[in-house]
Amino acid sequence: MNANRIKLEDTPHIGTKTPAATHCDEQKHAKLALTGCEFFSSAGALTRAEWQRVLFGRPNRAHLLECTPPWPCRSLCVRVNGNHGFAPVASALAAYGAWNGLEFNVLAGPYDDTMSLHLEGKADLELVWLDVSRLTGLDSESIVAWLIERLQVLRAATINPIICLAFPLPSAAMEELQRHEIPGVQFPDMNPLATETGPAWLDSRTLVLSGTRLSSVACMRIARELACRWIPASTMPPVKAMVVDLDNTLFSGVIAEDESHGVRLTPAHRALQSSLVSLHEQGVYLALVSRNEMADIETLFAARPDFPLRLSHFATVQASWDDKSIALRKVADALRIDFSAMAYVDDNAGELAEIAEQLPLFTVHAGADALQTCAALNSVAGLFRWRRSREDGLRAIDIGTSARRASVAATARSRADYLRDLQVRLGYAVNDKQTLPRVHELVHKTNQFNVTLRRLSEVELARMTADENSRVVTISLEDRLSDSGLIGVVAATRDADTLIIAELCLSCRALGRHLESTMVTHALRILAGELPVSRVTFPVRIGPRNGPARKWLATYLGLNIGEACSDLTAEARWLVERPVDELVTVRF
Amino acid sequence: MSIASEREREQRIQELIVRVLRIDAPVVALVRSEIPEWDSLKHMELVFALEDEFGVRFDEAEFAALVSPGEIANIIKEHLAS
Repeated sequence: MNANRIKLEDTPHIGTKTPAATHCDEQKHAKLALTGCEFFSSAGALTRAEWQRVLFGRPNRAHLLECTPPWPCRSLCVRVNGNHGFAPVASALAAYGAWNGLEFNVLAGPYDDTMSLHLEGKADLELVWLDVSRLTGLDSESIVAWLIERLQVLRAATINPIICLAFPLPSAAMEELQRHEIPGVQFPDMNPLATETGPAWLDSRTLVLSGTRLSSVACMRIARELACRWIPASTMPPVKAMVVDLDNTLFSGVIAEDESHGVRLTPAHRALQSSLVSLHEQGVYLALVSRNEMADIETLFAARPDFPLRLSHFATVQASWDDKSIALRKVADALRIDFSAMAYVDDNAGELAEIAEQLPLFTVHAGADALQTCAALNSVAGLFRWRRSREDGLRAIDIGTSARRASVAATARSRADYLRDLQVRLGYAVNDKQTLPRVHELVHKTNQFNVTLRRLSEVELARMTADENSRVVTISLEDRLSDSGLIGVVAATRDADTLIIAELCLSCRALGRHLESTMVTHALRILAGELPVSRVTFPVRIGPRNGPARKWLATYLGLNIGEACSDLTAEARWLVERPVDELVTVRF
Repeated sequence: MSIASEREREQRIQELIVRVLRIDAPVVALVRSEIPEWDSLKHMELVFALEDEFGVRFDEAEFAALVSPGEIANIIKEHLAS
């Protein structure tokens, strides 16, 4: 679709403002913009499987050096503001990053105990790297106060996400730091890593060599957390589903041969299953893909109460003798998510190779040591999140009700009957700071129904809520079958007599009820009431997957153009007077 | 320690140097001061890699003495012997 082909003569309430976005700007934000290259190939999948023993077994620098990726990686620039050596962490970041298709360029300035913050150059993330024992004469209370003040200065100077790694700090001081909710600033606690590493955490012997009291082992452990969990959690969309194979992955054995009571739940497999249960509790979808009969799978879970995982933990189960890639496509359809938001675990390297040739899907090899598999699984970039929203807990229940909702639609005599039966309720809030983390998550992970693809940072969203000419309107959805939680955002800024939409996105879980226009119109009415204007501009950006949103916008604005491909401006009065579904209850 | 395993050890040291310094060829007869790639950061990386590879812990005085493949091999040999 070309902007020049849009005929606007018959639609006087519409006008174009700027030329169409002709390039895809999604790459910056895509989980891995590597589709079609060697990362998603059988060779790439098998190489990453081989690396798992090195990366998630006993750490060894000599072996890490061998993990050099033949595939191109997405580059992220990390600026280090620190007072002790970061080089031993930086050198280990490469291998862990490459496993996830990431490459870290580290900008490290001179050691600075005063944290006077030199922010030359462009970076994607700020890392504060402090050995607080160097700050002599300060108790931990004073250190916390000083650090908060320095972080606020850093926050004011950049919209980049900030990760603050300060050690050694007692747990109480860490909790105090975490209580100060500065937008986009995270305080990972290194105390659990220190406990796990034991006496080898510090090594004063190597201070002269590396500039830090942290040992080489400690630095490798920190590198793993940074590369696989902390940096991706601050810079990448989340992984929403973990898909697992059954035989020799969740336990030792094959149910077709060993039968339900013959397969072994080793302590390591128990830990792996418990980890998956934990992910489920945090709102990550679990899905099962297995070459077994469904009846055998049901029998297995019924016969093994010792399994931490229950069949009910899985949002979908695909039991078939088809290629695994076919089953995985069915999982993506059932969960309504893209492959970039999924990861798959299987013990069969051949299956991983087949999948990698067919799908742009991140794979983890379930090796002989299930504890290593567990560590690898929890190191998939995007799986760890800094916090889980209320919606994370609702998601699995919500998706489970979609079949019942479809059944209501099939039996309803009319759309009015359907809506009456569902008892749909929409909730709206304006500039609710409590929900900003969820809003940030939504604008970053929503692909299909996302008109602008601006992907504002949490800091930018927070600034909008404080700006008298901007508003962030959130939309919540509930019906008698489930509470979907916060599923939509319309954020806008007034520029003279025009309201410019910064973000307009709806979660895919909210689609399918044909309420998109009603949801957005109510939000626009709120915005027009708070920020009176004559016109509303929708800055449309073309992404690889936002066709549904652009198609909706074209229809919504009464354009006969298939999909919106350029910025569109409409009369505000015409928009707010659009009809809405009256059978939907709305609360403000 | 047999001669064969000593040779294997020396070869492994060479491999690690090549990999850490990201150079094309082994540096058999050269010392650190003659190899521009062998800066302080690479030296740190090499020391840690050697410790992990051979299961030894160098002392602070030895950090500065690890300046050529031959010296490295000698120091590691002493550690393994003791």
